Amino acid sequence: MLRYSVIALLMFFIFAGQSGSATDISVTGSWSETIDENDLLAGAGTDLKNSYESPDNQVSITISNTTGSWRVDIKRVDTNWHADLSLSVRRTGSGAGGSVSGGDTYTEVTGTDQPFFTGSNGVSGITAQIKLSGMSIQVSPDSYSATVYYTVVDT
Amino acid sequence: MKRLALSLTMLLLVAGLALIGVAATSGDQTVSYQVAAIQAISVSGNPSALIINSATAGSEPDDDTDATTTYSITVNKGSKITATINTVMSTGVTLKINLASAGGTTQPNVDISDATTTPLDVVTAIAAGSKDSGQAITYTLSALASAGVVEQANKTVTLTITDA
Repeated sequence: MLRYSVIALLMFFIFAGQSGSATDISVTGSWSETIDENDLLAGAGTDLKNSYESPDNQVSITISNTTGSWRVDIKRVDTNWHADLSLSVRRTGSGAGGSVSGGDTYTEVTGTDQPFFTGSNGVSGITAQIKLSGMSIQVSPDSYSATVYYTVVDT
Repeated sequence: MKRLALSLTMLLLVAGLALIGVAATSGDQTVSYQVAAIQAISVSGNPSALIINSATAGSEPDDDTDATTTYSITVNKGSKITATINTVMSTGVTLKINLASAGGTTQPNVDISDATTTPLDVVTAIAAGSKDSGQAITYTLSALASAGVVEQANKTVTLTITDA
């Protein structure tokens, strides 16, 4: 009986200790764009605009449960994506709370995690903007999507 | 007592696991876009009036042609262009249309004189991804001598781009 309780207490403190040291991130603001005839550069006979940007506050990121330094990495996992197209993200706001640095120019989001921006302490409402580039009339009509992952790493 | 210890064990485990569940280190969002079917066509304006007023003795009157207008297209799927006319031409009078094409196959000098209900193909096999600008439209008006003098008339020719 005593053995059960001791094991349970140990596991509790181990888990609780781990959760206490893990910095949390929450991300809101998916983006969807429809490209059609209205996006031709100058009507029939011309190509589509090359790039499309979301509103500059499309993405809101909150970092919490930390009093230390951290870094946010980004990567994307494609569901259905056209090889001609690239996806980029840039930070457009610093939010409220701790400090945030970097990421204010577009960073291409690839299939591999790469640094986006850094900061310290909890920060809420960090805004970001998404850009889709490489569009042309060569891209077949279809629905395309990818999931962008934002991972916070304690530094 | 043993039951109480087991209950305590489960409670602590659940509490510990619940705390782990709260600690997210990754967030995600979906980025999606849709490319709609694009089949855009425009014309540069109206052609000049076509007038038949000469002939070589012993032959039918001379044709009149106009190639002052152009059309442009952008497509992201296989397409073709068809033509219709709003009302039929007078008896003995023929209107033909020829559309130059860089990205498709021209159907030369298509007679659209009575194409009021059934669209006629004027350019076929336009490849997906084509964007042709300023392609010439040539109209040819012909008349038989037997048509006599024909009053001036305006015709509306409609070019439609559609699935191949």
